[in-house]
Amino acid sequence: MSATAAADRTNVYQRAAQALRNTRLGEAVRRTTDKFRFARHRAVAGLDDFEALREHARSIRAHTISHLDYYLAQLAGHVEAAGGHVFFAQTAEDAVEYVLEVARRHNVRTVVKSKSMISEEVELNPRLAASGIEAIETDLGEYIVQLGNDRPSHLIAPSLHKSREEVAELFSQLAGEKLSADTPTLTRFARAKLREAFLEADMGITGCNFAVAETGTICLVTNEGNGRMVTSLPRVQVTLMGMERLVPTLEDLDIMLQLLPRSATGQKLSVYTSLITGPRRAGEADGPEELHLVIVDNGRSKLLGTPYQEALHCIRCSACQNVCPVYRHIGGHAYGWVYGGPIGAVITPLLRDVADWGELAQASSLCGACAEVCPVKIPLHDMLIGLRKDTQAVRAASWEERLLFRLWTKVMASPKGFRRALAAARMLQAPLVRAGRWRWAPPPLSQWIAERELPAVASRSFRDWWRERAASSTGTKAAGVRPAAKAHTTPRGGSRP
Amino acid sequence: MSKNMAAKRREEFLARIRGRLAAGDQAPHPGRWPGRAAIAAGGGDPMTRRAVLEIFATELRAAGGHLRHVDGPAGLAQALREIAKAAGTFLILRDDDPRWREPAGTPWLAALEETGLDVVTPAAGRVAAAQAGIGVTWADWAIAETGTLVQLAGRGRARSTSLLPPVHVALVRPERVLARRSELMAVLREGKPAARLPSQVVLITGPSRTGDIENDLTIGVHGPGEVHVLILAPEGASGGSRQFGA
Ligand code: SF4
Repeated sequence: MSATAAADRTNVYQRAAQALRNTRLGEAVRRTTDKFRFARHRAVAGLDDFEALREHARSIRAHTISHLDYYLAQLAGHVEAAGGHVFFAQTAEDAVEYVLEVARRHNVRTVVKSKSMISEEVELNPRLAASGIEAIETDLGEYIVQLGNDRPSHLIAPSLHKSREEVAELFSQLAGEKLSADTPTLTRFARAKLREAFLEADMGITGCNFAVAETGTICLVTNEGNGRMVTSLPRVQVTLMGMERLVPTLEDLDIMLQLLPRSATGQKLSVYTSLITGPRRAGEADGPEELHLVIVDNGRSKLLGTPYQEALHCIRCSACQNVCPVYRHIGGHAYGWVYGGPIGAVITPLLRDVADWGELAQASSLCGACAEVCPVKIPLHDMLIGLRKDTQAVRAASWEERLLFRLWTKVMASPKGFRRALAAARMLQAPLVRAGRWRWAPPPLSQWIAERELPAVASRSFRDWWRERAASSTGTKAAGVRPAAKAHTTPRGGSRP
Repeated sequence: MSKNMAAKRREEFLARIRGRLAAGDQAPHPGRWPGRAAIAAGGGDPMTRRAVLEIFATELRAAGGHLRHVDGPAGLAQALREIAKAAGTFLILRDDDPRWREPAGTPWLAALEETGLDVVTPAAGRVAAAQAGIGVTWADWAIAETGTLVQLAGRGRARSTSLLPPVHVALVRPERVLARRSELMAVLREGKPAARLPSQVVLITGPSRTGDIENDLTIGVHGPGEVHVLILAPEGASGGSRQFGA
C-alpha cells in the first residue's frame, strides 16, 4: 500500500476540496450511503422496541468498557482454555511484530485476510510484504482496493469509490486478458482467483466484530463468506482485535447482533455469523490447527477515564457515515487515515494526536444526525465540539505562541504601549507588506498567515484620523480612509492535518 | 517469548487500563433483555410450532434461500436429484455426521445413496470436496426470526461442507427450528456447563452475497450461491439428537 496515511501531508481542507472536485466520487458515495441508510431505516422501523434496544446496548457497552480489564482477563483465560494463544499488543509495532513472528515460525508464504480495520490501522500488509509474505485481501471490496494500491473509503463498502470500469481494468491486468465490466463476470473472476488463494494459504488473518468474554469466542460477521474461508482452510488463524471489541456474555452478543447488521446494511442478520472458540478439535476435518488472538491497544487506553471514553463503545456499523452530510460529500479518504465519517473525525485525533489531527473535528456540520442513528448512542457531535475546543487549547500551547500572547496582553494593556506597538509595527512591516496584506512573516506568525489573511497595520491610526477629523470640522475630508485595522483576521479554521 | 514475559506484558497491559478506569464511573450491567426484539409480526407468544415454521420459511425466502418439506426418504432422494439436475452436478459432498448412522438417520442415508449421484465425505480430501457441486449437512438448529441455519463444527462435520460447494442443502428436523436467536444463545450455554462452545458455530442466512461492485447485488461470491432447506417430515424425527458438538 503506497498511499499510506503517514505519507499524506495534505490537510483535511485540501483533501475535501479535492474530493469535491471529483463528481463521480460524490455520486458513488451518495448512491452507496443512500442505499444503506434507507435500508437501515426500513429495518429499524420493523422493530417496535428499537429505542429500548439501543438503550440496552448502550448500557452493555458502558458496563463492558468500564470493566474492561476484568473482561479482557476473562476473555484471555477462556481463549487459552479452548487451546488458543493470546497476545496483548500495546502498540501497532507490538502487534505487527507478533504476527510476523508467528508467520516465521510456520514458514508462512501466503496469507489470506478477511476484512480488518485494525490491520489497516497497524499497517500490517506492507510489513508482511517486506518479509516476503504475500497477503491477499479476500473481501471483494478490500481485494479491489488492494489491487488498486488504494485505501478503504467506507467501513462496510471499502471500494465504493471504484467504478466498475476501474474494477474491470484491475482484474483484466491480473487475468492477462480483457474482461467485460459486467458484475457477474467480475465476481466470477474474483471467486475463482480467491478460491485458489484460500486453498493454498498457510495463514488466515481476520478482524473481530466481537469477542465474548464468558466463552472465549471470536465472532465474525460477513456476507460473502470470506471470513469463513479464512477461518476454515489455512493451518494457522490470527485474529486482530481492538481491545474494546468485546461483550461479557452470549446474550449480550445477541443484542449486538440485533443492532449491527440492521444499522450497517439494513439486514436482519448478515449472511454468515461465525462464532469461533479455539482451534479445531480432535477428529475435525478442517479449521486451523493453531489460533492466535492479538488484543491491540494502539492508543485506545488514552481514551479511558476521559470524556471521550464512550468513543470506545463503537461497534463499527457505519451508520454515522451514511447519514453524515459531510462524509456524503467528501467520502472516506478525505479524513486522511483509516476511519472516516463522524466516528473517524472523533477517534482519529484521539488515537493519534489532537494537535495534528484535531482539525478533523471541523469536518462536521454538528447537525447531530450521527448521534441519532448510532446504535449504541455515542454522543458524536458533543465529542466533535469538545475536540474543537481541545484542538484550540493544544495549539495555543506552543511556547512561541504563549510568549507572544503574554507580550501582547502586557503591551496592549496600556494606551502608551498600544501606540508604541503600532508605530513599531508600521515601521517593521514595511518591507513585508504588499497591497495592504502581509506576504511573509517570521515564525510563528508564518503559520498564522499561511491559513489566514493578516492585513497590514494602516499607515495612520484611527485615533489620529479622528483627531484630524475633529479638528478640520468637515467630516467629508477623511471619507474613504478606512479606520485602522488592528491585525484583523478572517479565520478559516487553522492549518493541519 | 517466554511465559514470564508474556504474563508480565499482559499484567502491564491490564494494569494500564485499570489505572485509567479508576477515575471513572463503574456502569452497571443492564441485566437480561426484557423485550422481544425482532420477532416477526404476528408471531404470538408462545408461538405454535406451525407459526414458527411459517416465519422461518418466510424469512429464509426473504434472505434468498429455498425451502421445501420432504416427505420421507423417497422425497429426499427426489429433491436431491432435482437440485443436482438444476445445478448440473453429479458430485455430492456430505458430512460424516453421526446422525446418518443413528437408527432414525439410516433411511435418509440410504436415500442419499439411492439418488444415483456420487457421494463423498470430507475424508476424501480437500480437492474432492472443492469439486463437489452440492454440500449436504444436517442443520443443528434453525432460527425463525431471521431464516437462519445453525451448523456446529464437530467430529465428522466439516466447516467446508456448507461453504465450498456452490449449492448447500441443509436437512432440518422441524423440532429443531427455534423462534429466536436468543434461544440459541441459551441452548449453547446450557449445553456445556463450562460454556465451552464447539470450535465453530456458524449462522447461515441465505446465499453468499456482495454489493462491492457499484452496489450491484451479486449472489455466490465466495460461499454457496444457492441454499436449500429441506424440512424432514416429523415421522423421522423421534431419534433426533438433542446434543451438539459431539
Ligand atoms: S459511532 Fe455509532 S454509528 Fe458510528 S460506526 Fe460506531 S457504532 Fe456505528
